[in-house]
Amino acid sequence: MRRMNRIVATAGMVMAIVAPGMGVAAGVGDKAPDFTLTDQDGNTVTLSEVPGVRVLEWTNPDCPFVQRHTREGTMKELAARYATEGVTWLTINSTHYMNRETDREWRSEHHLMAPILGDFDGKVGHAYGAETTPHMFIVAADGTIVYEGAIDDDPRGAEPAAQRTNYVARALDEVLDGKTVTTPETRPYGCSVKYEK
Amino acid sequence: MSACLVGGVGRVRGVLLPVLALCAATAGAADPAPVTVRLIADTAHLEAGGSVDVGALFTIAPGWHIYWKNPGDSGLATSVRLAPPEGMSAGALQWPLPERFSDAGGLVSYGYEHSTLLATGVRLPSPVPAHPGPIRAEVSWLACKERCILGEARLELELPPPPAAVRAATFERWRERLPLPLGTAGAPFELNVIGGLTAGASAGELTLWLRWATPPSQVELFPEGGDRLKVDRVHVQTRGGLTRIDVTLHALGPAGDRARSLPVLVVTSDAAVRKGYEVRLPVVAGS
Repeated sequence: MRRMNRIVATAGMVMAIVAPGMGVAAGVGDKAPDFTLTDQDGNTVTLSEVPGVRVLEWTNPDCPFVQRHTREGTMKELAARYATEGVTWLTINSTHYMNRETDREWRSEHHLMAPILGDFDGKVGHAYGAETTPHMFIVAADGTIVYEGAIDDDPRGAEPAAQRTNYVARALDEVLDGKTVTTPETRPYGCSVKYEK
Repeated sequence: MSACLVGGVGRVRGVLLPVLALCAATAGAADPAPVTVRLIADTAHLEAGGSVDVGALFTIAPGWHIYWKNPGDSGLATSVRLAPPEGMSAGALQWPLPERFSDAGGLVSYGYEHSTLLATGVRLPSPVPAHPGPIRAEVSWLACKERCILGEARLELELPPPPAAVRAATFERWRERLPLPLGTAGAPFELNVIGGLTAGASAGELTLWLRWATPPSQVELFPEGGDRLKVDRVHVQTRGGLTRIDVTLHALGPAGDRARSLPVLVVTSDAAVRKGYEVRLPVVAGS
């Protein structure tokens, strides 16, 4: 991602050192910017207080790519599979025109387990350089970003799920085995994140 | 949030062609489909052993856009897969010069608004059979405005093409909007490239210097990229007869399998006339 500048995270506050006119975002190898966000039910979640490996998934219920993966159960199945290995899945919605209520409805309609964190002013999305929905990040137990990019290699959803390469599953397997992630960055695909103007 | 079906029917030489656009219901059933597409040909005359240009003509509602082969920070490349009848073969899709769109969050995409033609030559056999059968096409796209809608269509074009599908003037405009291919003499600039990805680094900066005999009023750069390389930022500055373009590169994919070059389009504008030049940039520093 745009790693022109460094993100410095201190005590739950995200401070960015900004060069004029340049995008600021954390990328693979950087410390994951810490954040505190509220989920669909009003519970606060602070990234640094969640132990273990964390997956961040940018979502937007209005986006056809998100809708397809929701229909196919891609994220839900991965979240459930890796929860047994101590991985926490956090979904983040930076869509400016949505709110906690829309997230609650979407989550309940599709029986999603992961909390949907509201980032409707887009601050956390910009700190990570989230560009698309979905856009995936994996944060290792030590707080370093070890993967970012697409969920899989099939933007059109043309292949049967079994024939796709799921980059997030592969990276999680490597992280949990204590290995280096062999494909740490891929091109994310989907709708643009609908940030506040 | 169920899928909606936008149906259309085109009549070509008495054959009803169902045109289906599957879309997500976000725009609501009341909204008309933002994109319609049809297959057209350059000529009705099929010359044995020759070729005929055939393509998908997209009509795009105001405010919406579809995507170039590199969609940019988000989006999805438009796909046109032509399946000509036996004995004929379709060449690679030719993409006219794209436009740049920048959204509220500063994300950049590349694509087309209003109307575009994505076409290619179809080589004909010798002799051409009297009834060769139709050219079929599978077309899919993502259309975005504030929201995005996926669309797809299965189209057919009878051969020889019926009069309603022959659009020579549209193909003429399409040819004017194609970039000058790689390796063709005639680019109006001299190019120098500095920088790139150093060994082991996942990000790098590339600087292009373009020296013009006659500088154009505007210069744009459209990177391709693919799945091994992502361009995060393009900054263009022209002073006198020199243009400086700074490009921020980001390596993607397995660490041991890095891209060595980046195909780009340099596009110039003068009095509303745009011209494009394909260039392949070395991206490994010092190469």
